[in-house]
Amino acid sequence: MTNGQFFALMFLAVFPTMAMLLPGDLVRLGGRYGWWTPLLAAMPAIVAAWLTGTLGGRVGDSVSVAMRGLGRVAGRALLLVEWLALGAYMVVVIRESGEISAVTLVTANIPVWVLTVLSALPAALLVWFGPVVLGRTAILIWPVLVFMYAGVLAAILPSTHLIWALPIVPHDMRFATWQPVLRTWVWEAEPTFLGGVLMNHVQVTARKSAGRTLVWAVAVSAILTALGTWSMVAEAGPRGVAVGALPILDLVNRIALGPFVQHLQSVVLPIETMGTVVKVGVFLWVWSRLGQRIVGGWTTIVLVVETIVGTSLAVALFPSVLAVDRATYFWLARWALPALIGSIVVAYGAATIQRGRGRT
Amino acid sequence: MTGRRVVSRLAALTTMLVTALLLTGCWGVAPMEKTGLVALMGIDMASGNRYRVTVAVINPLGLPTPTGGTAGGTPELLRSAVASTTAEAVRRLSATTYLNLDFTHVKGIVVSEQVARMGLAAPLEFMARSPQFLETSWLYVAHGESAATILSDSQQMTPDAGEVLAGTTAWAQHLFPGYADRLFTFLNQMQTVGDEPATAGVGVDTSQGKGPTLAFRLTGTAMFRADRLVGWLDESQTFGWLVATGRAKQQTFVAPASDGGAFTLQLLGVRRRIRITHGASGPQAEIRVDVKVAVVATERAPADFWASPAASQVVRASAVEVLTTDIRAALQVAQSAGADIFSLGEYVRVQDPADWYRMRGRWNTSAFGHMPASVQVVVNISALGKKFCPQSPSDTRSAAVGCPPGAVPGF
Amino acid sequence: MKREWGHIADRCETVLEHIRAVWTDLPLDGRDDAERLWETLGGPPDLVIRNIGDMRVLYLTTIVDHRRIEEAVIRPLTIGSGGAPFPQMLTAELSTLRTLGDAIDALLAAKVVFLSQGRAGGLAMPVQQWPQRELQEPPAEFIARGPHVGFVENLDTNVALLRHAIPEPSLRWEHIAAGQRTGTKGALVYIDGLVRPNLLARVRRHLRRAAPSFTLDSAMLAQWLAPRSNILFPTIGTTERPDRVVAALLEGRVAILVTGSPTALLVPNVFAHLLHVPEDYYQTPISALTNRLIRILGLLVAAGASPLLVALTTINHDLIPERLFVAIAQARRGVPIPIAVEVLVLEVTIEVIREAGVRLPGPVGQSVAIIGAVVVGQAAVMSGLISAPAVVVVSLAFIASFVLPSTDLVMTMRLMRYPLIVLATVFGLYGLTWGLLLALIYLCALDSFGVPYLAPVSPLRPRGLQDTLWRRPLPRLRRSFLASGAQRGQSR
Repeated sequence: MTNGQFFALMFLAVFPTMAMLLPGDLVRLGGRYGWWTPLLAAMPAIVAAWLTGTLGGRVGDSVSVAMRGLGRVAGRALLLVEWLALGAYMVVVIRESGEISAVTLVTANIPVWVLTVLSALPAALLVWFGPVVLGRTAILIWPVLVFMYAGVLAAILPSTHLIWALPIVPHDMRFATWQPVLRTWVWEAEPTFLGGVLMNHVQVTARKSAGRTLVWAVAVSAILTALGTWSMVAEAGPRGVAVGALPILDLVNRIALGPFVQHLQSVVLPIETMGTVVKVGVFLWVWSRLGQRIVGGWTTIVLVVETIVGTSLAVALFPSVLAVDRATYFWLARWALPALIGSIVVAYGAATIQRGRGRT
Repeated sequence: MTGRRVVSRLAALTTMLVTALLLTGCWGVAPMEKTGLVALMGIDMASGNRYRVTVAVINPLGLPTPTGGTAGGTPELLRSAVASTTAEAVRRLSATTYLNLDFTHVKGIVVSEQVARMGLAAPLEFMARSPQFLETSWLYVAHGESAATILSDSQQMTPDAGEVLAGTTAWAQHLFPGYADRLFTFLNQMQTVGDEPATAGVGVDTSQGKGPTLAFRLTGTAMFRADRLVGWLDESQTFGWLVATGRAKQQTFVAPASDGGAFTLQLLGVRRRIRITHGASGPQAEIRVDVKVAVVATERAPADFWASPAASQVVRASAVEVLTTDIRAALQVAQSAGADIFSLGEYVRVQDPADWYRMRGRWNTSAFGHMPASVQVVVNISALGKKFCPQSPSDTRSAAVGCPPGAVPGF
Repeated sequence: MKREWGHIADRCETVLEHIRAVWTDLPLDGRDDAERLWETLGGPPDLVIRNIGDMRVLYLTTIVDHRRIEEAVIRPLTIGSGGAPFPQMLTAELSTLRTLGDAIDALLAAKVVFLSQGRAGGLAMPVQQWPQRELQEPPAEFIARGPHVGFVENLDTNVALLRHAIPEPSLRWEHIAAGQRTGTKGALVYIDGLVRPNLLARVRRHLRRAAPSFTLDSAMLAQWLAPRSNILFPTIGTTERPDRVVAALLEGRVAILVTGSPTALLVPNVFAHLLHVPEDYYQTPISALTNRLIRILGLLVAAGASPLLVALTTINHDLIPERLFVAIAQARRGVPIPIAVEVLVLEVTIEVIREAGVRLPGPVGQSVAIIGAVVVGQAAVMSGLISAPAVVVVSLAFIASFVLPSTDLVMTMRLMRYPLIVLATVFGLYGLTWGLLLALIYLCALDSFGVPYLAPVSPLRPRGLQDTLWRRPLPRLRRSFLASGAQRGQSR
C-alpha cells in the first residue's frame, strides 16, 4: 500500500470511534478543559508512533521481527500475548461499532447485536480481500469523514455559547485534564501497535516515511478530537457534553438551520458506519495476521474463526454501553494497551539488539 | 489469494447479503398512513402529584390534500394521559389512539406554571435521554392557563398548531421582544450555575373568537433558577434582557420624546461587553451595550425637529434612557429572584476564576443577588429615515408624511 | 458421462484441427490445385473457377467486386492471353501463394486466386466488396458537438478510420484471432510509446489464454477476456465512436476491434471512464465539469433513489420533514401493499416495459413504452393500487440511469437497486448504507487489467485527477496516469 493508504488506514483505525466516544469521557473526567487531554496525551503517543514507524520501516513489521529476533518459541509466545491483548481490543471495537450505529439510528429498533454483526461482516470481507483493498477503501472514506466532522462543527456555530468554552487556557491544569489521559491513550496508541504489524504491506518507498505517517495519523486525530470536544462544550456546555454517551450525535441531532437542514444524522450515519467498518477491518486484519503467524497459516480459516469469536464475545460480554465503557477503561487501558506496547518494545528492542550485534 | 480460488468475490458478497437478511426482524417498520405526528406536547400537574401529558397529534390522512380535497378523518387529535412520570404518561398515550405516535417532529413543549415551579428536571429528563425526542423543540411556559387548555384552544389553527407556534416563535425572535429557548439549550443551561435558563411564556389569543383568527401570544419571559421557575419578566424587561445578553435581533422599541412625542427605533445590531472588576464587597459587573439603531417612525415630533442638528442627539439620549431603564429593571428582577439569566456568573468564571470557584456554591442564593452591576448603553443611530417634513407650505406631501400642516420656517 | 463426452469431443476437434493444418500445409504443385481447393472448401456454390488460357482463376462470387474482376482480371487476361504466364496486372497488390492454406485464406479474404497449370505456387489479388453499410453516427452514442461518424462491421474500414485520425507511425496494430472455429479476425491497436509495455503484454496474454472458438460481436470477446471481473461492473470499455477510441489510445489504452462488430473494446477501463463522453473534450472545462457532476448525480439517483424512498418511508420517518411526510402519507391512502413491495413491483414493471419497447419495431416500440408508462401508471395511481410518490421516484431513477454513458453501467445500477431496496426495507437507512458499503468494497477490490478500478481516486494518482471530475484546459492537460512514463512530463 502507498503512503496515503497507510495514513488513511491508521487514521481510520483511530478517529471514527475516538471522535464519537472520547469527548464524553474527556469532559466527564476532565471537566470543562478536558478537550486539552488529547493534545497532552498525543505527545508521548506521537513519540511512540514515530519510533515504531521508523524502526518498522527499517527492520520490518513487528511480527516477523518478533520471530526473527526472539526465535520461534519466544517469538510465538510474544505474538500470543499480543494476540490476546489485541483480541480484547478487537472485541471492544466490534461492540463499539454496533453501539454507535444503534445510537445514531433514531427510530429504528434494530437490536445492537444485529448491528454488531452487520459491522463485522463487511469488515471481514475487507480483510479477506486483502490489505490493499483495505487501503483503497480507507483512502476514499477518510477525507469524507473529516469533511463531515468539520461540516458538523461548522453547522453548530450559530447555536454555540462561546462563553461556555472559555477560557482557552485553564487557570489550573493540575488534575482535571490529566485524568482521562490513560483512556485517551487507548485510542492514540493504536497506530503504534497496528502500524507495526502492517509495515510489511507498505511499499518500500513509503516505509522510509512510515514514522512520519504514523505521527500524522495520531496528530490529526488528536487535534480534530480536541477541536470537536471544545466545540461541543461551546454548544452544549460541559454538563451537556458530560451526560451524553455520544455527544457528537446529540450535537448533530440539534442542528436545525431552517426546515430542511436538519435530521443530519442521515448524513452522519452512512459516513460514520463506513469509517467504523474500516476501523474494524484494520483491527481484524492485524488480529488475523497475528493468529496466522501463531498457528502457521490457514489464512481464511483463522479469519473466519476470529470474526465469529470476536463478534460473539462482543455481543455476549457487553450487554450495554456502560459495560463497553468499563471494558475500555479496565481491560484496555490497564492491561491490553501496556501488553501491546510492551510487546512492540520487546520485539523491536530485540531486533535492534540483534542488528547491533550483527554489525559488531 | 487462496481464498479467492475457493469462493468468488461475488459469491462472498451474496453470502453477506443473505446473512444480513437472515438477521432481519423488521424492527421499527411503521406504515406512514398509520403514523400520527406529535406537533405539540403539554405537561401539567394532575391530582395526586402526577403528570398529565397532552399531545396534539397531526393525522396526515385528516389534513386537506394538495388538490384541495380532504382525505377524511380528523386533522388534529388531542390526546392526554396521566401517570406518575412523564415517561410513563407518554407510553400510555399510545393506548389512547389508533395512530402510531411519532415524537420526532415535536415543534413545541408547553409546561404549566405549576410544573415549572416544581422543577422541570424530572419531567424533561426522559426527553433528553430518548433519541425519539428532538431536542430542537421550543420550550414554553403556559402563562395564565394550563398547557392542556392552550393545546385545546389552538386545535383549530391552520395549518397546525405546532407549525403556527414554531413560526410565531421564530419571527418573534427577530421582531418582537419574545424569546423562547430550544429544549437542548434549556437542558444544558439548567445544569450550569451562573447561566440560568429563561424561556417565553405562551398563551392563546381568543379575543377575536376561535377559528382562523386564533393566534398564539408570547407573554413575557419565564426565569429559572436551575430547573425551577422563579419569576417573570414583562415585555419591556424582556427587551432589556435581550439587549443586555446580545440576543436582540431586529426588534423595535419606542423611545419617548420630551414633548410627548415618540420615536420608533429598530435595532440593527447589538454588541455587549461585560467586565468583571473587584470591589470592596466582591466582584462587580460592568455591562456595556453598544447598540446600532435606525429610526423607522416618528410620532408627534415638532415640525422643525429634524432640521435641528441636535435631532439625532435627542433621539440617541431617549434611546439610551429607554434601554438603560429596561436593562436595569430586568437585572433587578433577575437578581431579586436569584436567577442569573444574564450569564454574569460565566463572566466571573472566565475573568476571575479564583473568585468564581469560591463563591459558586452560593451564587444563586446570595452572590448574584447582591452583585453590583453598572449598565452603560451606547446608541449609534445609523439611519434617521428618508422622510422629512416638507420645506415649503405648498408642498402637498405634508399630510402624507404626517407632518403638521403649515409652513416650516427656517429652511 | 457428460464430462467424458465433452472430453472426447475436445480431443476429436484437436485431431481435426491437426489434420486440417497438415492438409493445408500441402504446397500448390500446379497439378490439380483448383480441384483440391474446391474439395477443401466443400464445393461451395459461390466458388467460381475460370480457365483462361493456362491460367485458372478462382474467386468467391459473393464477396468480390465483380466490376473490378472484370476490369482488372478477366479483361487483361483475356486480351493478354496466349501463352503469357501471368498477365500484366493493373495492380501491385499481388501476393504470393505457396500452400493450399494460403490459397484458402486468400479466397476467404475476398481475393482472386491465380493458379497456373504446371507451375507451382499461385498469386492472389484483393478484390473484396464486403457487404457494408455506410458510416453513420452510432445512435446510442449521439453527441451534439463533435464528429458524427461511427465504426462499421468491416475491420479494414475501422482500422482505416483510426489511421485517418492518427496518421502517425507510432500507431500500431496487429491481427488477433477472435474466433478459432470461425476464423474471425480482430485487431489489437495501440500507440507505441504511450502504452505501457506490461499492459500490452497482459492484454496479449489474456487474448492468447482466451482463444474463443467463435465471436459474433466484440462483446463476446470481452467476456472471454475478463470472465471474472467483467460480471457486475464493466472492466472493458466499449464504444462505436472512432474519436473515443482515438482518445483512449492517446491515453495509453489499448483498443480491440473485431470483424463483424462495430463496437471496439477499450482496456483498461476504470470507473472514471464510464462517466466520460467525448463531448467533455469538445466543450469548455466548466461545461464538462457540470455535465460530469450531473452524471454522478444521475448515478446516485439511479442506484439510490428507490431504496432511499423505501428506507425513509418504512423505518426512518424522523428524517422526513413534516410537510413531506404528510404529503406522502396522504398519497398512500388506501394503497393495499407496503411501499417496499410497491417500489419493487414498479421497478419490475418498468423493466418489462423497457424490454418490450426495445423488441418492438421503432415507432411502435416508442408508442408502447409511452402508453405503458403513462396510461398504465396513471391508471394504477388513480385506482389506488400504487401511490404517486413511488411512481415519481421509480420513474426518476429509471430516467436518471440513462444519464450514464455506459450501457453496462446502466444495467448494473438497475440490478443494484433490488438488493438495496430489500436492505432498505429491513434495516432502513442503515441497510442502504450497508449495501452501498459492500458495493464500494467490491469496487475497491476490482481491477481492470492490472489498473485499480477506482483509480485515480483510490489509490490516489494525482496525475489522473486532472481529468476525472474536473478536466484541465486542453493546453495544460498532461499525459494520462495510464500512459507509459517513458517521456514523463510531456503533455498529450
